Amino acid sequence: MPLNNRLKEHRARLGINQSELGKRSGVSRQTISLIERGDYSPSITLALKLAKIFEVAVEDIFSYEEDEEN
Amino acid sequence: MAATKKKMNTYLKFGLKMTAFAIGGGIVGFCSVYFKIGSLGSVFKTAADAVRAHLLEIQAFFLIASVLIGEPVLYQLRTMGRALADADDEEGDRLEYKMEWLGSVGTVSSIAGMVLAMVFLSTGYSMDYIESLSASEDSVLCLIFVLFILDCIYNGFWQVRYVKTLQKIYPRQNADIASMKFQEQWLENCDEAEREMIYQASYKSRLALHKLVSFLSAAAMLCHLFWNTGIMAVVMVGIIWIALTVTYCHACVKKKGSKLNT
Repeated sequence: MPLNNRLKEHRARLGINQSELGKRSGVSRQTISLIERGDYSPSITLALKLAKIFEVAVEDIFSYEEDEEN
Repeated sequence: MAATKKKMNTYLKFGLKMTAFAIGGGIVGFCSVYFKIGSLGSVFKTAADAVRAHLLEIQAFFLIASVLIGEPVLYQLRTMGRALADADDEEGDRLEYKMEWLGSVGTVSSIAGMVLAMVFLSTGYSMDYIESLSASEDSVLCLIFVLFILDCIYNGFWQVRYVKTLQKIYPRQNADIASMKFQEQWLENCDEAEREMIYQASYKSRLALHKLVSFLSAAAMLCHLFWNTGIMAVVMVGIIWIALTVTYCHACVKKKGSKLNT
C-alpha cells in the first residue's frame, strides 16, 4: 500500500527518539520503526494519536499515493 | 457468459488436480507392491530395536543439548536486553531482530527437544517390553525415565525463564505465565503492529498445519496398509484435522458477530 510518511522528520523536530515516541503514543519502539520504514500502515487511531503528539494534521504526517493502475 | 466459462474452468482445474492426485496415488500403490515395500517393516523394527538399545545415551543427549542451547540463548537475550535500553534507533532495530531470531532458536530447540525425547522414549514405553526386562535392565529404564522427566522439567522451566526475560526487557508485557489465559493476556498487552505480526504468523502456521495434517493422514493410512501399524495414528491425525477445521470455523463465526479491533 503506497502510504508515505514524514514521521521521522516530525520526530526530529521534537527531538525525541523512537522509544520516547513509542511511550507517548502507547506503542513499542519497534512499531514506530516499522511505520517510519513504511513496513507497517498504522490504524486510524494511532495515526490520530501521532498527529496529536506532533500538533499537526494527520495529512501532514501521512500521505496516500494512488497506484498508477487505479 | 464469461463468468460461466470461468466457473467451468475452475471446476475443470479442480477435477484435473484431483485426477493428478489419484494417478499419483495409483503410481505410489503400484510401486509399493512392485518393490515389495511391505518387507521394509522389518527394517523399521530393527531401527526401533537399535534406538531402544541406546535409549540412555539418547535421553542424556537431549538433556545436555537442551542445556547447551538454552543457557547461552537466555544469557545472550539478557545481554541484548540491557544493550537495548541504551541503543539508538538503528541499533535497536538490529538488536530486536537478533533477539527475535535467538528467541525462536531457543523455543524451537526447547519444544523439538522435548518432543523428540518423547518419540525416542516411546520405543521403550511398552508394557510388553518393560515386563520382558531383567532387574538390572529395569534400573537402566528407570534412569532413562528420570532423564526424560529432567529434560521435560528443564525445558518447561526454560520457557518460563524465557518469558520472564522478555518481560524484564519489555515491562508492559506483564502476562502471568502461570495463568491458563497466558496467551490471551500476552496478546492483550501487544500493540497493533505486534498483533498484526502474530495474526499473520498464526495464519501461516494454520495453512502449513493444514497441509501437513492432510499429508500425515495419507502417510498414516499407507503405513497401516503396508506395515499394519494400527489405526491409532489415522485416528489421532484425523482428530487433529477435524479439530483444526472446527476451531478455525468457530473462531471465524464468533468474530463475525463481535468487535474486531476496538
